[in-house]
Amino acid sequence: MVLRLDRVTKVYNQFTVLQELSLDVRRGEFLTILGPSGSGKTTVLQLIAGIAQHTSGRLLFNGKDIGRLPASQRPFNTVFQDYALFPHMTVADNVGYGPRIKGMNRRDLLSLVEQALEHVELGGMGKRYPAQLSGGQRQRVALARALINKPSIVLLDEPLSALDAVLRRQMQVFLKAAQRSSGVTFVFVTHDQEEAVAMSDRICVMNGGRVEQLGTPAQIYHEPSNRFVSSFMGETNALSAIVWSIDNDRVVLRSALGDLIAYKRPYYAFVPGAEVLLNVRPESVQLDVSGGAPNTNRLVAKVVDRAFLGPNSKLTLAFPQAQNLHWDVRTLGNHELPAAAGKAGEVTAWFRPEDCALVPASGS
Amino acid sequence: MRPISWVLAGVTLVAFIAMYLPVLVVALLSFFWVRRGVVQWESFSFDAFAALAANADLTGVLTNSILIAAAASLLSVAVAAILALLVASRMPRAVVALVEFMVFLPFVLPPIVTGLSLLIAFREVGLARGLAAVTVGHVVVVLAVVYSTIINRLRALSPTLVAASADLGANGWQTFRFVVLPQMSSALVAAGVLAFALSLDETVVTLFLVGDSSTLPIRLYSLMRVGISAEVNALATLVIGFTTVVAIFAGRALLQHNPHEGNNA
Ligand SMILES: Nc1ncnc2c1ncn2[C@@H]1O[C@H](COP(=O)(O)OP(=O)(O)O)[C@@H](O)[C@H]1O
Ligand SMILES: [Mg+2]
Repeated sequence: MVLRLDRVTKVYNQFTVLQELSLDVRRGEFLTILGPSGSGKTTVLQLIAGIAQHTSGRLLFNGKDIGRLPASQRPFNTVFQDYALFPHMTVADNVGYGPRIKGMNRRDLLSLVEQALEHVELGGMGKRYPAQLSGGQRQRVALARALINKPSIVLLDEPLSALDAVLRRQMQVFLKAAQRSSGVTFVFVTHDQEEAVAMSDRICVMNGGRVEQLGTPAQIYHEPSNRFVSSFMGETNALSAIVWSIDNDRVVLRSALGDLIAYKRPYYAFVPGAEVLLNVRPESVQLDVSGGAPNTNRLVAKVVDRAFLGPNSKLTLAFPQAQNLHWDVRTLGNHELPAAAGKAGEVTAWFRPEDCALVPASGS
Repeated sequence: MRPISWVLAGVTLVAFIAMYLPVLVVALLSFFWVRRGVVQWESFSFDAFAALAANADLTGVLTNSILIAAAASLLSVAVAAILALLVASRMPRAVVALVEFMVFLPFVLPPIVTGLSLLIAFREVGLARGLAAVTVGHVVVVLAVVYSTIINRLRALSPTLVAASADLGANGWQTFRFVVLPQMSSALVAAGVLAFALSLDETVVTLFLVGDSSTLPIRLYSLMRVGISAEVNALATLVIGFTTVVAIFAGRALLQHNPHEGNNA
């Protein structure tokens, strides 16, 4: 652990932006703060960087309280959302700004800057001005300007949100590689859950100034701890249910679609009678094409919509027992569409008990 | 072109002639003799300029005006820059409103009121009428224009640039020196040139404060009673030429304030 936010609260004119937020950042990890716009992500970065001051709580770096250190004295550097490159300085002067401020002599500075530019694949571009660069290049200048100071942590505030889709993918790979090769801890902010899953060692899901869940991408995706996380992390099929009984490894549920079985995860704290929300990802719903489906979690449904999406197709299912309930199913390619739908568009869908997740029905 | 365009073009032409013909006439008169409305082309000479150079009275008031304008522009830029930096750095709203009210008031008051008020105020604090008093008066008069030029540039400055500088280890002074000042330097130059031009032909407030000394506009005004001589034409030509150059310079500084600034929003 390098950095710990300990019950940090931030209030702006009586408006609580962060509420008793606690978060550990581990050395060398790629940690993503993921949340919708306005959830307080930028504020967290600003508090860490020292650009804003927290109202209460503690900010510990290697065990020392750094909460009142000015930004200029914290060993962190930020890649700003708008890059914040100095427009009147060349690329080289931008990148060399930190070391120059700290009094490095000209000759060392020159070679250090050139090295830093090589590192972000901008060798020889030092004499240009930021306005003469593309978005992706500016992005890399901002990264080089941060990394050259050898910070303990690099803070990145939605650095990719201004880029188009193709460039965005490239920069994701580039950033990830830069983080791996430098070994520097990255705290990366995004509102894009796919980006978070693709890049992170761990994800911290934020909402309304609180941490909803902290875990690996797989944990966040497959084992959401509440409704907010399960719905924010991509598409999901939800179904209200009541916990009927709990075995060693199974939870029996009663729902509008009949009795269903869910695999019991170690962190579940449900008691019989609890109201829960069952979540099944669209890619985990199977269609019984050949009649060999298991007997558990079988759902008779009607296909009410089909969409060809390229690599896969999406079927929308409706259920005779539950009006207004629709589930989405992903099928590979297009070929299963005619075969799966029997008489009058009726299909049998099923899912494995280990492919669903339960979250409390109440709460966020 | 449609008829309406012809009308517009005609009006524009007339306006331009009305604006610039007198200027042209003055310039002509400083090089040539005119007899019964006809320019005597063969009479070209720099005699008028030579006479001007020899006229200690006119060169004296010209020097006064230039000194006052230079001092007033430097002072007003310095004062306005400090005020603008204070206002831009998270001041309470009430303080900002008060400062801006005080800066802009002399700009909207009739110059006669400003001049009279300054005269009375200077007498109270013991500042005698003369060139120093005129300089201070000019600072008061031009401060609004100078201030608004500078504050507009500061407000356009992205706050994340300042945050980025601090984030990279710079203290407040270094951030000012390396980030804020370069961003506002062209606005400072433009504001200074503007102040210089405004001060150079300020007459009404000057009248109240100048005392026994004189400045160029005041002297020209008093010369009107005895008639315009050739060296006055030469002087006017010099002032027009100088002002034109200065205006072009200021305009360029304001327009392309930073050739390297892109869409760094
Ligand atoms: N300087 C500020 N003054 C007042 N409110 C602010 C300020 N900065 C952020 N906020 C508020 O705090 C909340 C969280 O903002 P922010 O941290 O920028 O969210 P995010 O980066 O997740 O979009 C928002 O409601 C925003 O309006
Ligand atoms: Mg933000």
